[in-house]
Amino acid sequence: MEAVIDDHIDPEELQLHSRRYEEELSNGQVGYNTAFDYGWCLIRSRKQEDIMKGVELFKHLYKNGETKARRDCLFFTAVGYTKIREFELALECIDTLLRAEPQNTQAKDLKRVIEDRLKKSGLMGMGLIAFGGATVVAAIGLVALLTKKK
Amino acid sequence: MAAPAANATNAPYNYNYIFKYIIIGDMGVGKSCLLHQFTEKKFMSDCPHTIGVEFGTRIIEVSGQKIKLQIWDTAGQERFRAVTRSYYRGAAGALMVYDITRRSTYNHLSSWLTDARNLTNSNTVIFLIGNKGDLDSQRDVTYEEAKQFADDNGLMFLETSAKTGEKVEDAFLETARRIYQLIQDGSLDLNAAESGVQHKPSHATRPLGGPTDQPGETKPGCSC
Repeated sequence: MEAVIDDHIDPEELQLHSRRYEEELSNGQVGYNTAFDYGWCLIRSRKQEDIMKGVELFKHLYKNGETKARRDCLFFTAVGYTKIREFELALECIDTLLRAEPQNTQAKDLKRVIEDRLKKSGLMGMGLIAFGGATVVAAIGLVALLTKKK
Repeated sequence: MAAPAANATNAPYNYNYIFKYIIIGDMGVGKSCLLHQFTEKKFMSDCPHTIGVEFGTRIIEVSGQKIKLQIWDTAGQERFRAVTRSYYRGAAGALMVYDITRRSTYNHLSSWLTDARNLTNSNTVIFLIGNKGDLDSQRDVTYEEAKQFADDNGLMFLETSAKTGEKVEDAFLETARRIYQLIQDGSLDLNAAESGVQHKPSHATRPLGGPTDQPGETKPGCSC
């Protein structure tokens, strides 16, 4: 699953789908498949703003698109959120999918990855706080020492 | 303490080559079940349709060489087809699957084969798999007919059962053997980015699943 999340699209391929999408958009009617393909390509981009655009597109398709494809939209939205480190939002999507398909191994795998990354980012956050705290204590100590000397 | 380098080549997660595979074919023919049977040695009943792509790996041995297979299992739904095509590039092996109990899945093979031929390179080994061999009583495509199709198109062919596991290993391993043979013959250029093969020096000690082990980051030809 990590490989699926961390896989990147060839920018040329993304460009191709982007052009098709924009073309249909300017004609006033975007086909469902065009939007879906473009969304998936955006999610696989290296650029944060593309991924966010992809997430928005899938959220729109979830509400307004085919009912049978809602699971796919939830999954890709979760992948997008994972990539931009919005882990809580990613979990929300994947939990909605798992309520409908509790045995879906792809969804279960993705959930495990999200929880892992969430835990890691939490630990890193705690590390930063601890480091910050230690720095403050050291600074206070230093100031105290200097004042004493004076 | 650092691990002794001499033992590193014998470590179970060490490998000399990486081969990229793709699994393609109609929806519901058992592509994900084949992958699961091969990587986990288990049958998934009630397997929902794949969303986009799935990925699996397993290390095998061919002629004393450890080979890591990186397998991209693509969704069979027509809706996904435009984007799943982008996963074909740089595949060393393509497993093209149909369901022996559903003729329509066999009839669509020429379209899958066209994609496989157009989007991979000329050395990509294409292996035809007739899956659901355990459901012989419901058979809709004879072995002989499919064998003829395979021969006519220069494909390797086997009937498998992802459910019982029969011939599943053979399909994945024979594909790897053929790829390895192409390397030995010199017909597969290891330096070509599109070959789908990466050669790892035998003293490489990077463990499987390490942070730099993602397929996107270890593209062939990028190491120099």
